Parts: sequence; structure tokens; C-alpha cells
Amino acid sequence: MNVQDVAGLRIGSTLPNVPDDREIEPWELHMHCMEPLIWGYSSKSKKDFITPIDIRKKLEEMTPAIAFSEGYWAKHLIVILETMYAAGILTPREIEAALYVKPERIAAQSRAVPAAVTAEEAIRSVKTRWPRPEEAAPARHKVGDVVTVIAMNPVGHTRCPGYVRGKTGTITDDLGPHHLPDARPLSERGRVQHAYTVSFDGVELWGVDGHRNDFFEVDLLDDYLTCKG
Amino acid sequence: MPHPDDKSRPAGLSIDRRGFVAAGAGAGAGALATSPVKAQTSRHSHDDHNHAHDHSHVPSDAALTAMALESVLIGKGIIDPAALAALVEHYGRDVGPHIGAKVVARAWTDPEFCAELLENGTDALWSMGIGGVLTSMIKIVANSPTDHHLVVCTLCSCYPWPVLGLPPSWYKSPEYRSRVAVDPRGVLKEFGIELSDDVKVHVWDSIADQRYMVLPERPAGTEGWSIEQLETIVTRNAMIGTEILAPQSGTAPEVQA
Repeated sequence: MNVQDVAGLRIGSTLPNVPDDREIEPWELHMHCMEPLIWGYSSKSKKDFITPIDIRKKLEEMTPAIAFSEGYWAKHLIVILETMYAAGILTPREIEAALYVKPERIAAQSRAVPAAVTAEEAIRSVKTRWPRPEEAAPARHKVGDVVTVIAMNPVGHTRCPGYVRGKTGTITDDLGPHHLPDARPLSERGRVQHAYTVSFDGVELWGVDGHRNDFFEVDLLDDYLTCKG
Repeated sequence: MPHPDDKSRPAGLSIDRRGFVAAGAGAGAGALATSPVKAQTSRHSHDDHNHAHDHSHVPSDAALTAMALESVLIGKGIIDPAALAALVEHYGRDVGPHIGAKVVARAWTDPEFCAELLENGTDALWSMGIGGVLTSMIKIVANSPTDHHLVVCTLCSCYPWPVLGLPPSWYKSPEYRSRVAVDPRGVLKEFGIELSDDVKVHVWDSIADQRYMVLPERPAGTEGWSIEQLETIVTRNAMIGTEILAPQSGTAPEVQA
């Protein structure tokens, strides 16, 4: 199962950390910042041992027991360690040893590796506006269309969540060309196609457990949609 | 670079911590039976005593392991400490809800900007010099007496970092992501918001590349306030949609010119 596709599962009886509303911990902030630097090194060094897609895949394939109980960054940490150990970049022994040593001592012995992402590159990467993908296939739908989401149950990544599959809604916005990130190609139309905001009402999605005045505005790509009727 | 938690690093290595390190080596789910994060999220009551004491706590195994990972990667030269410091400063200080608050306060006081913001959020934000990765496409949705908006990403935890900073832990939790997609009114109640059945609730599931931010309603009692004064009352949760800003009574807050 894809344990990241959780919509509607009603996990837990109340929200954690509300009303405590815990802010991000320093170590979580560091994890957030380390992750792109690790990807950058992986790519620049041509070792290609880890990518955001690898991390996403491993997060989706975790067991529910871990996925639904551990914190976000604890899960990322598990995946990063597992991947770096498997690639021979790190060993568990090195991590254990580092638990006893002050970071400054290790930093003092550090040697620059040319493939490490520089501060300038790191800041440029977060401040850059990503270009929209070039139009590659004409839009197959338009605002106002009533559309039904195709049935599917794929192995691997999709951005079509389970809770809207087979359901009917109305397109309220055309978001323009998007990359189709699915692990499996869904059609011959190619990887760049229009995405739309599709509005589903609560009764359509959840029947007697839905609310008539709840609306779920879900961004979906052309390949996921068929015109009703 | 000294780690903010370094002073609390213990001298010994617990079994739990060893288990956590081993988990990454393929020891599997069993090694994680003891939760590496529970220790850190455990609460203690704030009702029964005043807080004069230091709030330091024992860091979790995940925190210690993350710090060790950072040390090792810096030691190997895989991570440049200057690059890490630059990102920590960016995400820890430069971006955050104070950026979104500027946008909201301006929209409340400048109808022309407000119209542009709702029409093309991405360009309106870039006109203020706000943007970057993950707001290459952003839509701003406005709350009103008849429509309440809130934001989620049910497939991961997509969030508009450049305007709101990094998300709170609940936003990324399976509990929020799973429940808001079926019972948004129940989730809102946990945040203290009770909506009448006639109010439409819109849940924006930002699972493609577009990000969302909520423009909260301007609360009563803020007539005549300056943009700077208005910024002080705009909260992160109001811009996610899990808070309705309370009416203000009394005088406007003092802000530095």
C-alpha cells in the first residue's frame, strides 16, 4: 500500500500537538536543510545514490506502523540513513561514533569536497522561481466541465489520490501545463499535460458521511480525468 | 558549526538510540518499536505551575541521530557547513508567517492589490519580492462570511514555504491529512472553530505543483490601523485556514515605524 495516501482514513481520534501547536525543533530544521544538500551532493558527485524521488518512494513503502506513528523528520531520517548505508556513503558505525563527539571537532577535521553544494548554490536554489513546463499537449478539458476520475490502483507513485478515484466533480480552474509525476505512464499523451482544480462535494465523496456544504478542491492532471456522459 | 542542541548531548548511548541507528541499516520495523520521537513530543501540563525553570528537555533519539548524521556529513565534506548555515538562516529566520502577514495586511488595505492577489497570486507575490521554490505557482483564497477555506496536502505535506515558512508538525501529521479530507468541520472544532452548516467549507488539497494560502477576514475593531499594526495580528494558522482572527478591542498595538 501507499501509506502516504491517507485522505479519509481518519487516523487518530484527535490531532497531535493541537492546541500545543509545537513549532519545528532545531534538529528538524537542520534535517529540512540537510536534505537538499545531500541530494545536491549525490547529483554533483555523479554518484546518484539518492534523489527526492527515492525518498518519496521509500516513504510510500513504509509499514503503516511506522508511517502513522513516527514524526515526519524521523521518517525522513530513517530513509536517508538506509539509502546512504546501502550506497556505502556512510556506515552505522560512523553515526554511532559521532554520537560521542562534539560536532565542532568533526567540523574542524572536515575537508571540502568539490561536489558539496556551496552556500551560494543552496540559496539560489530556494529563491529561484521554477519555470512552468512548456505546453506539450492541448488541454483536454475546460473550466465548467463535469469530469469523472478514472479508476486505478497503481504500484508506485501517482498524484491521483484514492479518495477521488471514480468520483465526479466540476473543473473550476485550469492550472496550465504540469509534469505528470506518475511512476507508470497512463497514456500516450506524454509527461507534460494540463492540471485542473476539480471541485468535489462532500456527499459525492463520502455519501451519508459527507456534508452537503463541504467542498474538496483537488488538483488533478488530464490523464486522471474523463468527461462524464 | 555548533548545533543548537549540542549542550544537551548526553555522554552515553542508550539501547533505543542504538536501535534507531541500526534501523537505517536495514534492521527493519522491529528496531523502531520504541519510538524515536515520542520522548520529544511528550507534554507536561502548564496549568499547575508557573514556569520559572528552564524548558530544556532530553533530546529524542531521532534528534541525536540527526545531529550525528550532520556531524558525519560535514566531517566527510559532503555537506559544506556554510551552505547548511545559509539554509538554516533562510528557513529558520528569513521566511515565516511574518512574510504572509505582510501580504495579508496589504490586501486588507489596498483593494487593487487584493484583486491582483486573488487573480494571480504568484505574480502579485513576486511584485512584493516574495517567492521562490514551492511558490512558483500559488493561489490565494479569501475567507468570507459564507465560505471558509483551509489547506492540506493529503499525499505528502506540500506547503507554501516562501510565504509561511516551514509548517507546524500537525500540518504534516497523518492525523490532520487523513481527517481533514473527510471531516473538515470536526478538525476545525479542534482548533476552536465552529461553523454553521450554511457556511461552505473548501478544503484545498495541494497535491500538484500549485500551493495555496488563505486570506483571512479582517477582524472587526481594526478600522484605521496601519499596515504594520495589522501585520501583528495575522497568524500562521489563519493563513492555513485553521484559525479565524478574533475581533480586536482596545487600541491598536504599538509598532516600530
